[in-house]
Amino acid sequence: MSELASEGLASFDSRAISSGSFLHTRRETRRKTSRLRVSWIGDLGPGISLRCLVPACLLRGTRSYPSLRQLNRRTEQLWGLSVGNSVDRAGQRHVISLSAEFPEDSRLPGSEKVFQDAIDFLGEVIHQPHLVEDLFSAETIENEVVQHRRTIEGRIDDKRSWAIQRCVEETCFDEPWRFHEYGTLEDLESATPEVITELWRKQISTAPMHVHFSGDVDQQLASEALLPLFAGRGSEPDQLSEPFPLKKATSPREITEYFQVQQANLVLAFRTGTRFGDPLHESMLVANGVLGSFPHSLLFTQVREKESLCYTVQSHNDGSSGLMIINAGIDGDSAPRARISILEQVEKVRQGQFDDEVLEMTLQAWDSRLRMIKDSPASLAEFDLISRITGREQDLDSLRNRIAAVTKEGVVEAARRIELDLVYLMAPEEAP
Amino acid sequence: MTWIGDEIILENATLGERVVERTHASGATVAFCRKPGYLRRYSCFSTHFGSVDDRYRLGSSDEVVLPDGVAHFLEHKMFEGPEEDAFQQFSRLGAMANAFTSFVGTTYLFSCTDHFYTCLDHLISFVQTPHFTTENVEKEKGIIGQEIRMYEDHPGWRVYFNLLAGLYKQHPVAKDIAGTEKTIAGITPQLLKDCWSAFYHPSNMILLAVGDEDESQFFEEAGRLLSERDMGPDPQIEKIKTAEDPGPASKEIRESMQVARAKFLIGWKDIHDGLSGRELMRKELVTEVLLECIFGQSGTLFEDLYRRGLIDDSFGSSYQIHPDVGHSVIGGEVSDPEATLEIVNQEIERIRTTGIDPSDVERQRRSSSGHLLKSYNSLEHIAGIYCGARFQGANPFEVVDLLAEIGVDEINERLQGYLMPEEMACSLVVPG
Repeated sequence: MSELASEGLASFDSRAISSGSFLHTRRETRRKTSRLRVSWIGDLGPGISLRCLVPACLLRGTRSYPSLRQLNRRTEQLWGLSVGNSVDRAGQRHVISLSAEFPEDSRLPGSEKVFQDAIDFLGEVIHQPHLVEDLFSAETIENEVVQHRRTIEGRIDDKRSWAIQRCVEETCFDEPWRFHEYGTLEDLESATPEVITELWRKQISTAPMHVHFSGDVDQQLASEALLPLFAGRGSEPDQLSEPFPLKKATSPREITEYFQVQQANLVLAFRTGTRFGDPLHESMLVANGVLGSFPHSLLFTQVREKESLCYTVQSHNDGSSGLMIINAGIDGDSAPRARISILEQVEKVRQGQFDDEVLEMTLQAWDSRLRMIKDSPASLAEFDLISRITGREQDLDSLRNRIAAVTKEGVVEAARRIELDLVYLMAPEEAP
Repeated sequence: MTWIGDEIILENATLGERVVERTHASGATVAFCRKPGYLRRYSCFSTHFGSVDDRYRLGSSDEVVLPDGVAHFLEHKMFEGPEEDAFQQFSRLGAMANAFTSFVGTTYLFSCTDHFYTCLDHLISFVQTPHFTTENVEKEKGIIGQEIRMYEDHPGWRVYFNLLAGLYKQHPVAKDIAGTEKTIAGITPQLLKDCWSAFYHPSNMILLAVGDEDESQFFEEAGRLLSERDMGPDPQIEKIKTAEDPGPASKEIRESMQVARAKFLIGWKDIHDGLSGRELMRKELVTEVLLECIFGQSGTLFEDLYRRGLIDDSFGSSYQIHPDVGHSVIGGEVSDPEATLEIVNQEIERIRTTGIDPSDVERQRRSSSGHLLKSYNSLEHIAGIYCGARFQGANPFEVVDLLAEIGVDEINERLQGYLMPEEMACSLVVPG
């Protein structure tokens, strides 16, 4: 097993179970619970809302626990085993996951045990859902379509992420990054028991699959117990699309949309021309840090603290799409001023007009942020999975070293690649 | 003399946790919880001054009435120093600092991987060194104004605070933590200084660290740092309570927002007299188990509402308790609030008649034990649980014994006379 040398903590011991099937386990002795994540990978694109229904249907009942109520009673019986599903996007990939957390056997009273029962339960959820004549029941599909439709419709309730998503959709109208991980309402119309059951069968047999486990369990025992989760894997995994090329900025466009809101949301999309694997990628991460991802960053100290223009302002760099997104929650009347001030801060980074101390703080903050990942099995699994599917450096300590080596010149060189592509404003509707 | 009295050791074998507590000569409660192997260290300095503390008296002087939002305003302003703000000091060390204001307290915190004692020094220094000027207080009104507006656009926040406004006639728990733009308009440097002098005296505060540090070194350093400033004698604060009358202020509060789906909460108020310590914790636990038995995901009600498409996974329950009042809240995103309310009331009446099934209580006991173990993985949760319990005069670990003690009779007894229609209020955020 490899070790994260500097702190003596176990990293994931990874192995391929079959083509497209991977098991990652690590021994974690510091915590009171074990954590398991099972993920299936696909491409972002049309039809993904149907894929979102699969894990939701799996959590509606199994062969032994055929109703929602019986399933939930079983999780309570298993010492409050928490099980949930999630859908995410990572670069141009769509990730569907089931995650579970349950107490370590050593923490339970007397001779109580839960590890094997928890894994068996998860295996049953994945491989033996409650089916009626070999199909998910019409009622389950109907319920889950309604639920997922509401989830999609409910996205607008979070105004800030709505504004950011709208900005990305407009900026990347013909690129895969435009797809939201929940998919579209139109796609949901084709959901039937047959379609979703077939998607489930394909998912568990051919979608690239990763299982991440952290717990205080002997590695050999854990691997043996987890193997049945890979039952029925085919020999030919789905081929995922080739990496989509990076685009350059066009002449900046502007879009304003009006909503019933008290606060305006300003979102600026930039093209950075760099992505994971690019020699300048780590410099771009640091440039983004100097600009806007920490409390000492220019956007926070200038736009918020000095000019009092907003409560939230931050920048985010996506290493897959090469986009940098800056968003700010502002007063509607301040939009022109906020925009000028934000662009001034970008220009300062481009011109190297920031103190060495800000760079130093950014390097420290990045290092600390990456080290803290090691305390959380969920974050470690997330980091490992996303690195594998997006081509990011997989070794946390190597990434730390590469970030620590970034210089001011590197930051300036990276920042000079940043080009504004689109300005999106979510503005309050005018009073009638 | 650095310390007063003996050290107190709070420990629990089931959880495998131990907290050592001492009282500093200044009056501050200082506590330490060691978490072997964790890279992060977390520390917080919390004052027992939150949004419910709207009236007070020092010794025999006149009663002071505070405008809504003062505790939160003070939280913002404490970060400001004469040279630079406190965020910068932590950033320089690769640490992250933050703060939050709740109903009952204000907490300043940092987490770091290195330079723990330098960070601890910064934490104590900035919280004990106010710097309020007319200019910086006026500037903060703009930032907090934006924060208030951000929450005004947050449907989950609105529906919750509208419910509190419906439940309570007089009690300050119903007030928005940040106040309103109007209430904060009158805040002056002198008002902040007065509040700081009264509520930020060490005798009203807890300093806690959680992480892999040496216990005796922690107490030595913390003792030294707390002795650096003379904070004067205990100001003898008397918090003046506002008595709450039975019955809701309003049966229903409805607000329309640009949301996809209605958000619906139902709440029931509790009035009790001066609960604290074990008694308060017991009532909280009994109520939580009761709510889980009736409204939890393993109950018949949840399954029924879910299958009818009335609710989704967001449906849940919670209980919040204060020494003089408390309230249960259930709800989430709901498609037909009237129908849901009717079914909920019928189910409560049914269970009031039939009683809770003893096996449900037993399952909740197992499930809660597992959740409790899980919560002790997180440094933040440990800090939150500890400070919350200490502010209520309780031992945080007593919940383990209480969980073993409570039985179905006590739960059924609690249901008699509780969750009654005459104590109920509803809050709705509807699309519009």
